Amino acid sequence: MRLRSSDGVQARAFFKPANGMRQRSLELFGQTRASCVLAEALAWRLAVALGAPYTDLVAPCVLRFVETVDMDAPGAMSLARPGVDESYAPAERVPAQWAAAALFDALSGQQDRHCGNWLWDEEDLALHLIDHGYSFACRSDHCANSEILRVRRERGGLALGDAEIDLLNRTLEEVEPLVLRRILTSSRSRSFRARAQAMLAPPRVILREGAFH
Amino acid sequence: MVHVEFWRPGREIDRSECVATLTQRGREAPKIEGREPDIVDLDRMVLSMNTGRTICWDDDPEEWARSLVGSYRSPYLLAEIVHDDHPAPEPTGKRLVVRQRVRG
Repeated sequence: MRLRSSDGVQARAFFKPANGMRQRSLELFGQTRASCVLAEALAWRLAVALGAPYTDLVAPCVLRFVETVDMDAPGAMSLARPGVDESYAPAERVPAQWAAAALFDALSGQQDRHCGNWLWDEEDLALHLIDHGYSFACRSDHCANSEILRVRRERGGLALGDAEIDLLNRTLEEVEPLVLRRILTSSRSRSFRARAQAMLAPPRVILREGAFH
Repeated sequence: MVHVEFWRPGREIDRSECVATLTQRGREAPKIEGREPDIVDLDRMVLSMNTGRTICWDDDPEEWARSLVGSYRSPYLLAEIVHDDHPAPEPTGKRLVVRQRVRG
């Protein structure tokens, strides 16, 4: 759909209604209609709280009612991002963005980061993460794919840098209590904290794929 | 046999395009056709719609094909099953209702 701001700026967006999601998929990932649309929007709020480069990586997303689609429940409205899917080129071309995306996936408990869930904008050399409905997972939840994290680990990017350590400390001190705890269920919030704490504990390495805690 | 279509939503209503199809018969080689055959990622892991376990194509090709709808679900690319000899049960689930509309 096309959006137009009050000052005339136009943008393209996608709307994913909560009641349009397949029940079986939700169940398999341990999610609900509500948790899934919340996770989409919360991933963006997390990116905003973390700041750059995460605000550039994650597609902006908000919860909205679109009454012509569904009178009963909101959905996740995401700004469209440019680029192509199915490309591993950004791992080579923009390794710093790739590494940051891996940390974001590890921290946010992303359950299905396959190569259709990121976009590579070669013109602007920008990696964009899309589709965060299956994230903020708990310990027992399924992980289907974690490609960005897998590639970072395989390439030896296990150790966390000083900036990443600082970011995780700030996440525990500010981001989780102020941004996430009021919105996530207690179990998902505990798992989020546990993931940050696990990465901060020696030897201070990024989590492995599917380690949701 | 499972037949899956892969759709790219268009910029306007009714402009969506089927860019690839996959036909999977038992353990035969998958038949992939369309303008963008490469988007059918045979290496992708999916959650089995019947068992909930993570599977790859080689584990069970038909079940893998049937389960692609849970994986290809982004606004940029969607999978849709158009034929399935043994469809997985699809629970309806409870609709989410988060507000009571008040009409003045």
